[in-house]
Amino acid sequence: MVDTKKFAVKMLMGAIQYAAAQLAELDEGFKKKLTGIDTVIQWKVEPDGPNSYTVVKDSKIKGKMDAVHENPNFTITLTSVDVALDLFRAKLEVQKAIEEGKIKIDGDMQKAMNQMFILEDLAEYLGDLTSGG
Amino acid sequence: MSVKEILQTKVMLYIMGKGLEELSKVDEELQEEIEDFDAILQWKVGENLKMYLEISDGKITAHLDEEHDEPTVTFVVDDYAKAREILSGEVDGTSAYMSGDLKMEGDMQAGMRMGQLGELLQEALTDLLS
Repeated sequence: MVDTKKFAVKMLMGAIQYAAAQLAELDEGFKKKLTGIDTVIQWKVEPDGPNSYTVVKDSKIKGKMDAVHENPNFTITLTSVDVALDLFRAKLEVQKAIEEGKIKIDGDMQKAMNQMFILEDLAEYLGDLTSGG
Repeated sequence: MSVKEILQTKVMLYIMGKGLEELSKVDEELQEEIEDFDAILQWKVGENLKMYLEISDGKITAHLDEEHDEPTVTFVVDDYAKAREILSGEVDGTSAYMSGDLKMEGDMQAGMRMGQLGELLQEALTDLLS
């Protein structure tokens, strides 16, 4: 039997990166905001995945599923499958989850915060879809 | 068509395509279902959105944003919102077909199999869709 929670996390993780890649092609405003950003974000879900990384470069976004990057700029660790599911379904207060240690970010925090708009813009487009409504 | 509509519909196509691809690697029930079933199941939404599932040798591969020249069956949905309802399972395929929102071109028999695949995916996605 399939681990449905992990399966859902994997699908959402992939879908969100796919959506980000598509948005960078479809929306000029979003594309412009990506100008100058050159970053690799590693996503990890504890204890054993799914893992993936996102490359933002040349105003394009590309996701790679089931992969660990050797030298990411940030690593975002989601400390359980439940935390990942809540995050991807926009049912988590991100700031609070970071304070409580449910989400761990390694790397340049300032840069991470500056690039948070990527997730915020995406949530605007996908919020009512991924929250299951 | 708004970017939001396009994006949301693309995401649903992604989840169906990649979901079945992923599931075909791990789910025995799905593996049994496609054991002797080789087909190209193509989806077209509106004018521009397309995706096809390549089913062969007991595996499913999703080809996003691609069109196949000789699909076994093609599912056509003109309306984006309707497509999302069908893809998410909110509206079941048979009733969508009856009402004309979902059209099928090609091998009907193969088309019916899509319904079974969709049901198995729905079960696996309970934590996502609930």
